[in-house]
Amino acid sequence: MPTDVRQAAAELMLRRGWKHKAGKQHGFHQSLFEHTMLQLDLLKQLTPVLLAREHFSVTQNELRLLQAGVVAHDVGKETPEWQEYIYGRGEWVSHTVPEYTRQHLPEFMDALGFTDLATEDVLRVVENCVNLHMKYARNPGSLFAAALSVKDSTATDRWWTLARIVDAADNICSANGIWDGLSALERSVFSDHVRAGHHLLTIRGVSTPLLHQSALDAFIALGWFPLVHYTNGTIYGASRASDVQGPTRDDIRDRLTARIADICGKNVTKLVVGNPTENILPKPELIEHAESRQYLAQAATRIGRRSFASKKREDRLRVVRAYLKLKGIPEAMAEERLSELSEAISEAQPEMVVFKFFKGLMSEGLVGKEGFGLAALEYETLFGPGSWPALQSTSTLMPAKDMTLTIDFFHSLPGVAAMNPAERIELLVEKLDSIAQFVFRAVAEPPSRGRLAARMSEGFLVDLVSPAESSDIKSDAQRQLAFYSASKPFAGREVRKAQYFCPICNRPFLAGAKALADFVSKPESHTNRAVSHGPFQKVMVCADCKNERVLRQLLLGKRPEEMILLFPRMNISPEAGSLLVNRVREIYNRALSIIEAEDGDTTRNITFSLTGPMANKAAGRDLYGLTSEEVLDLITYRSGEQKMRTRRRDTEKALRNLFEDDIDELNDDWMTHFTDWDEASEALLSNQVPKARDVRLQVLKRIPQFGAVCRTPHLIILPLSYPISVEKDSDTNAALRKLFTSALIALSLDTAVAIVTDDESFPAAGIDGVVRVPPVPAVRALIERVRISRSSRSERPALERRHSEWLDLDEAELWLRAIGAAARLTGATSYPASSNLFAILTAASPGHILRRIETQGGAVLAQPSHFALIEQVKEVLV
Amino acid sequence: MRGFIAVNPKPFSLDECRDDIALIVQTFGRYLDGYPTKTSRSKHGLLGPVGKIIQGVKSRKWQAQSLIGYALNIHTANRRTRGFISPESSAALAEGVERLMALYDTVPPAFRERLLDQVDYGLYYLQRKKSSDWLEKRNVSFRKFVRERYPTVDAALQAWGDKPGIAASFDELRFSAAELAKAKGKKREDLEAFRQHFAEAAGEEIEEEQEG
Repeated sequence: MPTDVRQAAAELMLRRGWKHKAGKQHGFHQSLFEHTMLQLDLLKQLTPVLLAREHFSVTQNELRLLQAGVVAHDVGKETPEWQEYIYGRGEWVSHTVPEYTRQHLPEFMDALGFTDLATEDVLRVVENCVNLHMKYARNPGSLFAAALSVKDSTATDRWWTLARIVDAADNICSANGIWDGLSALERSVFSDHVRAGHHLLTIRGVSTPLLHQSALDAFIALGWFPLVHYTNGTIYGASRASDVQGPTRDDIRDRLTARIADICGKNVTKLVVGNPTENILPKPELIEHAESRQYLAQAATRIGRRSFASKKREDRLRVVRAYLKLKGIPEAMAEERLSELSEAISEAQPEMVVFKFFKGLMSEGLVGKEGFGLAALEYETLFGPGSWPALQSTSTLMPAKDMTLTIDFFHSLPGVAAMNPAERIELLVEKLDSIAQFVFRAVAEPPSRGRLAARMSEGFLVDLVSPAESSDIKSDAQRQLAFYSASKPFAGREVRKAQYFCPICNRPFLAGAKALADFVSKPESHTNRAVSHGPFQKVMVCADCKNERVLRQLLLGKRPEEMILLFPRMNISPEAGSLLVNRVREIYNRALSIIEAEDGDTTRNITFSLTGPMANKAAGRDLYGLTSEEVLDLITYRSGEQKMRTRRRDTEKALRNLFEDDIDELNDDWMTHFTDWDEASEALLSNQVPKARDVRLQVLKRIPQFGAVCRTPHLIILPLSYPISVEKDSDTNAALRKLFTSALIALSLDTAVAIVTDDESFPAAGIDGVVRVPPVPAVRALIERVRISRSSRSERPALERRHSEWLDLDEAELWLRAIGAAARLTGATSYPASSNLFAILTAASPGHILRRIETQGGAVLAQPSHFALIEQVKEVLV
Repeated sequence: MRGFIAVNPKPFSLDECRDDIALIVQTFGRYLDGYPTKTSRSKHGLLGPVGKIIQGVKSRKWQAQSLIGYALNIHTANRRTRGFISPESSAALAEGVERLMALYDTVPPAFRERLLDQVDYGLYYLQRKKSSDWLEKRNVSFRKFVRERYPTVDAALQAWGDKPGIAASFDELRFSAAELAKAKGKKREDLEAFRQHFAEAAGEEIEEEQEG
């Protein structure tokens, strides 16, 4: 199919408003545009089979008739009567209306560029494709009439075959899930010509897109072509005349290993070095032994040299007293002595953290008993007898103890005490790194990330349901039951011979990982998975769930707070999927360039939380026809002059702190000749110092706060390092913001969208709409009330049973308008910032909002613009 | 022993009366269209006698006919009515009162306060919106009027002796009675001409419309 037919079809459907109209509603939700485009793309995928002599041997003209039939097959769904019916507001009406088809078909032929085919007899063939694609419309009478209508046709003598192909394409694309899709393909006219294959998996998280991509690549490499993508898999096709085989699980696993290894090779240093007051080595599995120097140097940056000195006098006094007590020095504390020791401890704090990391790096768990012994020997050779047990007796950062047990040993080395702090750190890193490297060379298996990728992919492969490994379902179920029955006493304890049941993925396991706050929120809090008595440390999770969370952090560089998930609205074609993936990538790359202010414009930034500015930009725009640039514009905001003044001031302050008020040090580092801080700040803001790129991003806080796992259209993930909310938002207000952002993305990118926290499970099953409502009871109750009040009375009992977890297409538009209008009214209504959106959307009547505006505005009457916004909010006031 | 007394209370929602409430609001709105408000700056002024009617219904001390009589008395006491009420307004007033009292009696006591609230604020919104729409319509008409007389907005401002730049385009021009009162020279001439023009076109009299 030439691209221009697809383009022409898209333009025609946009003109007819098919993106606003429901094509599929019950069970899954698609606009008429998506549903039709999916079939057109399916036809394209199957074109080689259709044209092949050994299969359908369709002529080029017949192919064009098929394309016209597919594009027009659901034209009857565009009528208001059918739309009312599908949204539950009207009685059933058929969408195959011969008169309607006949009236509109010439326009379709014209728009698709098939004017040369628009003769009476050709039109009858296409009409038959449209009118007979529903089973209920096929009866002896209608078939006989159809045959009569084309009996003298010169266009083709295969009108019935063409009608069956259109019918089959519709059935395959309308199938609710992979199994139904495969079944439709097997039952269709294609079954004798097209061999069907599929991959299917359970959704875990960011590992899922990688697994999808690995499976997709494995199938395509063997000669399969993808037909339809679903959230949890893909249906593939291949000519029955060919001899293609499906890929093996090993093939898919190897591809997955390569992908994970690629991700693991980036941005790990900051993740390896943890928090000195909690766990300095939270992810030992990410360590690559050759990188020990980077880690030690990174550890030195985990605490500032001035942090202790800037503490309150009483706090410093307490620490200094403890230090002197440990040293056995009488405690006669003059003010001068206190300052002197405070300074010394403060200056040494980064060194303490380096020692702490070194201790973790040389632990038995990482280098084994032999390595541990070697490290002890080398360490004591350098720092003197007794220094190794002293190091081992330290724990989290405790300045007095660390000073005694590590720093004093180091400072007593010849010449060290006379060095400045930076030189000391450099020397310490060098010395400890040489010990570490000596130990790593000596041990058989030094820590390496290479094995991690293989371990991860082996673990994630359990999510691949098909291609399947032969397994005994009954024994699997019995094992699951046995582990579930035995797991309660072990849920919060790491013991040998335990049987665990993962609280995240519900899989049984024998050896997992203790959940740390680093990757699971509140791991020590009560859970019904554990017994209510006895000791409970931290909940145990399986290694795969831990690896999944490690992978998330690797992708973002830190733990994501929330994730924006983009799913196909039930299914998507490879062509549309590829366009979606490219579009998201393009938007993401441009967003990164704005965040990092590469063009020197620091007034612009990206937001998913500022509902008001986003709503202002979205107002009056047709979201369905936006380019990538325009979508990006919706989430871009510009800071005001006052904010920019503050930023300039903050930049100067940050630079002064960083270079300790020494402009010469800055000039040395940047190789510049600035005479004052103002000049340096201005140059930094306008991106004129290429060498200061990292400093610039750090000072301007322009570190990218969202990532993109955009591999295949099955599931696209945008992890965010911040929650979608503004400063004082209550959970309810924040949920409304998320709903708005989700709807904005869903409508402008034609996807289903859910926003989940890092701890929430992905809504894998039952995607019953286009926008997921955040799990906040007040918001879900509001959605339900509005849904019921907008429905017809006969529909209400059914709606009362339906979950309000997902919004369908017209509801997404409704709430986008209403929340957007509410956000634009927050200034005028002056409700408390924590709940302003919710207060407006639950006002007793439009009059109450108006009254609020007019009583808050200092006797100023509401403006026409306020009425326009209230009218939009009014749609959801019940 | 006496058997259990089974009750099956039907949950009530004001949503069920949505259409009735809307009809009452529209009916009172029709009445107020013929009532010359003293001021639209206050809710009290905007609702005129209907505010008193709502209070009367809430007190449950009035019969429908006596409440209508009370409201008519308030109506005719307004000097701007010159003691007159049109048959349409009178009918709308009576219909509104009767419908409201009838609905009030059918609603469970716990919901009556909210019912009156809905009517009260519904009517307030309706009347304010009508007023806002009317002002906007007048502004649109004013802009067209000025555009026909001057080639550019700057030319208009210059002719009126206004500071250049106070309006960047014709779309930023607004007519107000206050502006007319303090206008002089050519500007007064133009504003007065527009006032006459608009009154004739709309078939009504411009009085003291207030704006935000």
